[in-house]
Amino acid sequence: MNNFTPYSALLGGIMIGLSVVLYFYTTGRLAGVSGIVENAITKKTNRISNILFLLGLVLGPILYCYAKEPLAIALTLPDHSFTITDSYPLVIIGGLLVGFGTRLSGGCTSGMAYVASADYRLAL
Amino acid sequence: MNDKVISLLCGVIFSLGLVVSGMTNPSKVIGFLSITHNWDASLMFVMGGAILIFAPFFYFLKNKEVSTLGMKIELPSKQEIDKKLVIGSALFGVGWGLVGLCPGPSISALTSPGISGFAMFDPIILIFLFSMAIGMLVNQNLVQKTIQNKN
Repeated sequence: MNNFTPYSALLGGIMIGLSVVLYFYTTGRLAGVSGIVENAITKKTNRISNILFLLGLVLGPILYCYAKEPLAIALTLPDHSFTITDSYPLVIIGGLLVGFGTRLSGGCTSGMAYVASADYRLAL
Repeated sequence: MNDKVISLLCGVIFSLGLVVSGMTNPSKVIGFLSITHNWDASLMFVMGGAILIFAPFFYFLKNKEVSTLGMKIELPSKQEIDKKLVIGSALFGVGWGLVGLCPGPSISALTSPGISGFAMFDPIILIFLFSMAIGMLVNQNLVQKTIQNKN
């Protein structure tokens, strides 16, 4: 198995779990990102909170970029820096399918995989 | 702390988890989805870690009526396995496999470390996000409304 990185994956998963717990405990809502994006675009209720959550998703990696070197050494994190070389049509088709599919089924990876399975649900 | 501060904080923690785990890295995701060829099973541990933390909390919290900030606990009603779920999940899977980005990571990928080591701000990710938003709007305005009218 190439590039197997179970520890950083588990650590990241625990952080995602903590975020979902904190969000649910305080706001009473489940942090499924596709739902938050859809609500931020189409619904007025909790719009500012939803937009702030999405802003947090953008700010986190910037913080990580600055804390990366000392953190990565201390926690022996693998380097996940990347580049995207896909063609524009491929990215557009992928984006359309991801947006359409997640909302048709009612949940994306975070909603379905993390939240639904914690509640022994088949779907959100 | 109000729900706006909490939302921002939760977004930050969530995205740090995404970056640390490798979920924002499309080639890592493609490696995870290619189960028949040089399978990299790492991302299974992301799901494991998240469920490990969330499941016990959820068990105790789900029967409460209001959250600690006094907001109504909003749980979706149990959904049956229907055509929408199966077709939607399959289409999502195709899109995820094509590019290697799903909703959360696609937003965080915008500022995730690129090969230079710093936030990449790659316009191709904006194109992905824009297409994703269009896909969501098409579902809501065409498909969901048609289904509602049928019923």
